[in-house]
Amino acid sequence: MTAITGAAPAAARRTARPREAAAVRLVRWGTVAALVAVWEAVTRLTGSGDYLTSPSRIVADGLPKVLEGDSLTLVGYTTYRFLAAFAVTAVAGPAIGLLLGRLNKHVYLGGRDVVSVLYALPMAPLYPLFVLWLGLGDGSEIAFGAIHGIIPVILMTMTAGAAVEPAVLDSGRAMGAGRLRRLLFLVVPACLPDIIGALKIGAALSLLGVLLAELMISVDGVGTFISTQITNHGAAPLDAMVLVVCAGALAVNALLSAIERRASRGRPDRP
Amino acid sequence: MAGQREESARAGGVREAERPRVAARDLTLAYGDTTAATDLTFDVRPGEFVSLIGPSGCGKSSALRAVGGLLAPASGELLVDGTPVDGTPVDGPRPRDVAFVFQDLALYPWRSAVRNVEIALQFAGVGRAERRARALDALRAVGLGDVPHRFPHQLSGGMRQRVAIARALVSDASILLLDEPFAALDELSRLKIGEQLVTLLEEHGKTVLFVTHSLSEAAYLSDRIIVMTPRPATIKEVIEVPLPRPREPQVLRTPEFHALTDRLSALLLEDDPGDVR
Repeated sequence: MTAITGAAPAAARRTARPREAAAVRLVRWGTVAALVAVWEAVTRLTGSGDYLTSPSRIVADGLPKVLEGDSLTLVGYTTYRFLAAFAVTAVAGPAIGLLLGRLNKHVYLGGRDVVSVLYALPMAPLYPLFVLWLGLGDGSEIAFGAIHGIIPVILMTMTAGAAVEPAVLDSGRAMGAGRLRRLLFLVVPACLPDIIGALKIGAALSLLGVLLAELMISVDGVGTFISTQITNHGAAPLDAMVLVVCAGALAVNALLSAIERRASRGRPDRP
Repeated sequence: MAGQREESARAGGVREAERPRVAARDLTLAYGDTTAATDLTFDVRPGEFVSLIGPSGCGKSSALRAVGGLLAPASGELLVDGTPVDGTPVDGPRPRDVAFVFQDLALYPWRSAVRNVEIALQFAGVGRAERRARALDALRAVGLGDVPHRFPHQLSGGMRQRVAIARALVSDASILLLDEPFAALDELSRLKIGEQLVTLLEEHGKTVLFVTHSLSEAAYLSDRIIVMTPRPATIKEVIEVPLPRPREPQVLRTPEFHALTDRLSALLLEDDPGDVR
């Protein structure tokens, strides 16, 4: 068989630049260390307040209280609610978004307007309605977390879905792919980095929704712990719990970022 | 070349060989209220390499898209292997014996070269092991056997063109629709790759409908050239290419080649409004 030949293949682009990566890491962690150092110095010089204490006191006094049995149970409740809310966000958000983005132009443009308005609405005043509808407890808190997370995911996913290059879809049609196959094999992979990026925001907002619900009307969970510590002026356990929540959120974000990097393979336009 | 292939086709049955692979009769193509081409009547015979040339935006690509089932004819008749094409590709394996190479190649950036080629077979329902083997064969055929796992952005423009051609070849479709596949290459490279492509297609017995802006490319590669007018396009003239096969690069310096390109140029200039400098 005759082969079409050409110039020798160019060397694959080297994406790893160790020195650059080391410099970025140095700036990133150096900034964190500097902020912690300033925080420690300021609180030592001015004395701990009712709600903000030094990092060293948070570790020495606050963390043990957060990591004891009862407090950990509250963290477990919130974790469960967040995971349930995020599961709804992660499954239903991209599904609804791609449906609205790809069904047809009118559905996309009309749907985008509606979802944009919903995104702009403040949700907190609606929480009592959730309690009335779903009762006090997991149901209303999970639903409130899900509604916080799902709206931006729908908005970002539908935009990504509508922006898929027509040539990509035409090529699929030319190869005999039906609508469902084009969706699964072309639209979803084309949008995947955007979907994962949207889920990073959706995760943060789902957690925010659950915490807001627990802070407003709840009998357990991290939000209840925080409001109790505010009432009791328990600065060290309050700050320690905030740090635990932040650590959890950062862990979820790091996991999704790793997935996003994998989903962005072959996409030099993606971070 | 085309003559030899037609002869072998005749051995298999006179009626099959006589029937054009692509037949357009009074074909009109439109996007909403805008007519892209009107009254197009042409045939592409088995094993032929036919080029469509004409001014930018005259409807060449629209004609190709119609043959590929991506644009429904507004009126007239369009047949591929005797079957009407209505712009609604049949879902499922191998809707027609047609493969398309797009102007911007339409490679999927998230897929490696071999997986870009494989997807044509994936849509056709071919099993994983077979489609990988066939995709690697197709990549080897276009000279990319050593870079199957590179992503499109890691390949040069010419290599990406070859991946797109491999994707068209792998499905074994016998009609290839090529929409300016070499547009991003310099003149010498496009003639060189084009000549290699013709040899490859000849070995595979492919019928080709080719859209190009390059007159020398059309003259060098084609058996016949369809010259189109500005939009809404009609067919101005169909020219038989008098150059013998196989063609070597030396043919580019022959008086016959220059006479042909001069004639093509003159035909296009006749319709040039002359307001573009």
